[in-house]
Amino acid sequence: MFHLWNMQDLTPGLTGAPAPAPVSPALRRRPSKSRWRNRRLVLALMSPWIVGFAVFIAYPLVMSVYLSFTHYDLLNPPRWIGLANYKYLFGDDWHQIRSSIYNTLWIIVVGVPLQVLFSFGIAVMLTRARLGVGFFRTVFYLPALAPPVAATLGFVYLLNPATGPVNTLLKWFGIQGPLWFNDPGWAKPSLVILGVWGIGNTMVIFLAAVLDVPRHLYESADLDGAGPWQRLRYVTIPSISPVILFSVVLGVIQGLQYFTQAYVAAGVAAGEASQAGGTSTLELGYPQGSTLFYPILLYHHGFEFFQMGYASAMAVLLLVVSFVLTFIIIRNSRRWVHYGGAVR
Amino acid sequence: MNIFPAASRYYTQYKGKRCALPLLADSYGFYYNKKLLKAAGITKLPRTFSELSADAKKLTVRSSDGSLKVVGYDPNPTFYHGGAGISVYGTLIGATYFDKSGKSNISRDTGWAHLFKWQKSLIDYYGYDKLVRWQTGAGDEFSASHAFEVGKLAMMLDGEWRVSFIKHEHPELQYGTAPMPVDDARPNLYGSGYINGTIIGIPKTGKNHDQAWELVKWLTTNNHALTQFSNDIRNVPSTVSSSKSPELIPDKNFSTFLKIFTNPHSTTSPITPIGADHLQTLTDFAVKWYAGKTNDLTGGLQAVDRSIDSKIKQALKGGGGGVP
Repeated sequence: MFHLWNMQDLTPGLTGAPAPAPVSPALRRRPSKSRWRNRRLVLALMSPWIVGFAVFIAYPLVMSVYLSFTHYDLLNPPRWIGLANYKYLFGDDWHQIRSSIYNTLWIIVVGVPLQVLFSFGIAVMLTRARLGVGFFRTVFYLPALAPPVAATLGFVYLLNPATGPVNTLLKWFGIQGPLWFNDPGWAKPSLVILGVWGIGNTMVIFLAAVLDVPRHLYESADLDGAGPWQRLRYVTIPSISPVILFSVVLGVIQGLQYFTQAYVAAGVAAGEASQAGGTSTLELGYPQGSTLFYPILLYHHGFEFFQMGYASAMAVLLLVVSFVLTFIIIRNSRRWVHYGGAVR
Repeated sequence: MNIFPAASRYYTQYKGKRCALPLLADSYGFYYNKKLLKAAGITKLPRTFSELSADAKKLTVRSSDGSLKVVGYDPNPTFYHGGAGISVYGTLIGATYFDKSGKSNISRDTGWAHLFKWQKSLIDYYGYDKLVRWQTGAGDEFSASHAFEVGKLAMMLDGEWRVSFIKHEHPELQYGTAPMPVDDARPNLYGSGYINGTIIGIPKTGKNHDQAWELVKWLTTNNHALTQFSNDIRNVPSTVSSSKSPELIPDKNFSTFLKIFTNPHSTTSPITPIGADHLQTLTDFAVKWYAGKTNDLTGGLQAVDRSIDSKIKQALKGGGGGVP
């Protein structure tokens, strides 16, 4: 074992221990050498992460900021154009940016609460199950193992308005099913259904949190005459509130980066059999722009029309918005998240 | 360079600078189901959009619940159309995309308004939602369940490759090919069609330029090489002389596309500093127009012009353009 810091070294006198006697410079060097050795070991062990962070996170981040001030078509060297990309983003292109922001906010505002609600609800139900607990846990978790592209293809097939099993079933009851991914009013709700279906990972975290709520709290609530709703409201939810916060923050960040499912669903539902996602001359965000999420518009500019400078400006805006939203959520969470005896 | 038709010469250059050479091409024309046309009493092929609409209505069959069983002609360019989208109609209306000063010209070129009104009127005849529902059950474009190949679509606009698809997937299908009907106001365009195709070039930073050029020259200009390639994958051989070569496997349906390829009115879409973003912008408006989400055609097309102009202005910032 090794340690990074020795509290007595860092805060002499504050820990209640007697202040160390003065030592000669020669003596001081010995622990310093030991610390340096430890630091080198720490650095060596961390180096794979440091290299990965530098190459895959820090460098692209810095380059994105730089490229956002350039005109860059991926083939010719970037040319500095100052704030032109940002002016265009908030100016002439704002109508399309605004539309993509609306779609992105929609999927966050509707999708994230539903995913949290269903994850929590299923987790609570699973804690109550008496028979087949392992079976049900597996069943509800399984969708999370499906690759996003495969899951989306499956849903587009299931929800095919003309030949899909869902509408066929509805037809048996005399109901004409909606156009699902082919209707601008139904495309986003269809994506939300797909998202709720695949909540396995969040559900497992909620399950662990619900199972971890101390029994004595429920017993105390029972003694106070609390019913099931009051136990849920005043014991379970406050106890798992850090997990709710975690799920909301993660959901919002994933919502801001929402891409794969929408890209694949739009391409396949539009009938572009040759390539999921479509060619540049066909409709953007099929149907009628309803699945044009911000990251899809960014991809469209960067990788279909080679406007990488402009796409970088969009990415920088996305980063700033992600920071701001996360900050707001965490700031507001102080009012409703309880950490028990833990120190934040 | 005149061994290639004008359209192919155009889509392999940028601002007059040759970037690549055409290597086989696609031309777009009209396919019709002979059996269905005969059953509907249609003896003369349509040559204009209005004639096409009239025939499409005769050929359309609805189920008892009002849903579409057989569609006469689907004018929505985002459905099938070989992925070429709305640009395939540009040739048929003699469209201009930009004026002489380089400004987007779509709202001022009456051809586009004619096209959109014609498409919308036929879509309204089917019912937009009913047509979308039919499309979702129409089968993948590049599969044996393609709606035209199985008799669910009586007429369509498609590329020359479909001849080979039908031969391999549904050899029993009785069909014919012809030039696509054109705007009623431009009957002289009949016989032409949209052209595009694969291209070949030599990377600037590559090695062995001389040897590479020998290969590219042989592949793109040697009639024997082009006709053999064309016979193998059933695309249009890309020089004027090779499209008339006796080495081509004779096929009446395929030869329609060879004639369209060399028709002087055949065109392709414009090369711009924003790639195909101008077509995307136009299509994004078109789909809302077809769906009845907007009734202001003139205002919508003017907004398309403004959007395209601003995109080009942005692309030219810093003294350059995007990659065409």
